[in-house]
Amino acid sequence: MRNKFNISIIFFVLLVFCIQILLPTITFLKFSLVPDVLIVFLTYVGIYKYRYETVIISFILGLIQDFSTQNELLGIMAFSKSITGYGLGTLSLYIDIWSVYFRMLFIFVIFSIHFFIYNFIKMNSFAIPFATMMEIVILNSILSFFILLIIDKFIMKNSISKK
Amino acid sequence: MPLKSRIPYSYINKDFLVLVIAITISLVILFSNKSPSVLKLKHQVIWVLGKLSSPIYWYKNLLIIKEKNKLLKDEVMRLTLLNSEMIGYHRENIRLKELLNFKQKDSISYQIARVIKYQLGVTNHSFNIDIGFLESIEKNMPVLDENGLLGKTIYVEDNSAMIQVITDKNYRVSIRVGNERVLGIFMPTHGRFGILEGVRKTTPLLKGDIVYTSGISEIYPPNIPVAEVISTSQTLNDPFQTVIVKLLAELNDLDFIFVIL
Repeated sequence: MRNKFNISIIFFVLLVFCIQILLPTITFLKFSLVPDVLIVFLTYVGIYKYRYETVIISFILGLIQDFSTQNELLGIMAFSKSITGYGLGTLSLYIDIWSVYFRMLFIFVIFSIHFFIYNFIKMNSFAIPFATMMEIVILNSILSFFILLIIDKFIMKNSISKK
Repeated sequence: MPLKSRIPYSYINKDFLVLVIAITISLVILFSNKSPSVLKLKHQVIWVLGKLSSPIYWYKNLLIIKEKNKLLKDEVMRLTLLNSEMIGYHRENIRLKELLNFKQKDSISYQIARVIKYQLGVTNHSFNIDIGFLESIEKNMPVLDENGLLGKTIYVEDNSAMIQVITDKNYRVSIRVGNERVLGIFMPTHGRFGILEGVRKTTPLLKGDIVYTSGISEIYPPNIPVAEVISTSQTLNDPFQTVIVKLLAELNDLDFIFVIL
């Protein structure tokens, strides 16, 4: 059952995508941050599915996000989410081997890589200092990581943070 | 299923293969955008790839340098003879101009640049060169090789610039052709070939006639060779003739090019 794309994954994809569209923008320290629920969803896909399945789902979600949110940088989300999917897919291979702290650190690093790729390409043509861009990357990563912790604690029964 | 037929598949890393396919598709989509961010990203990627591959090009250049040197010596000898003849014509020309009271025009100045050979993108043709703002290069400067017009600068940074090649589907150049020097527009079609639009039916054109820039455009100075006429054809209802031309610039083996300042 684990290696089959079933109807539940399609349902969850649609649900998460609807939530993502409805989420408001948060203004924090003069930066506008949009919580990325898709990346949180992909973290669980990474745990419960094979790595190649995670990459495929990430790519498709990224592509849908590209076409539904902007038209200037089509492919940017598909690109960053594919790489993120590969990283998060690695979770399923080592979830029983890595300690909970290392697992958490790994997820945070993957989130940061995702936001770094996205913001680096997006802000490439603007004269924004590298430090400012890194601030945005870290803030977005922390926000998504915070959402992941909440969902993991109250909905997913500590499936990531289990000891 | 027999074991033999399974073995090749077992060596394929499915995860990595899927990742490579996903990244390739995403990059193709991303690089087909025309936004400034993507243009700059493309430029940066080409620059990095160019730097990484420079030792390979250095080694390749080393191998062909002897042969090239011999050809260049022949060319130098031929040009020296031609030059002596041209000096005579030049003096004669000056004398005739003085007689006709012509004004002296400034000679064209240019910068030599090395090409970083990488192309990215689905529809557009471009490459990078190793000089930029610091060498007085600006946007929309014409770029030539020793044979003819090659393109123009479209994006410039301190030490590098991106060139839009004349074969790009969006490229247009105002030209003059034939003994009557009639105006027309050059449009690339496929590979090194292109067509001239707006050339009157009555204009006599021969195979091998050279097409020059008209000088009407603010970008290109006049009389830069662009292409040579390959064939012409006419239809009854059209007031213009169809002229097929072949670019003079060598597009396959670019190493050094000239940017007109």
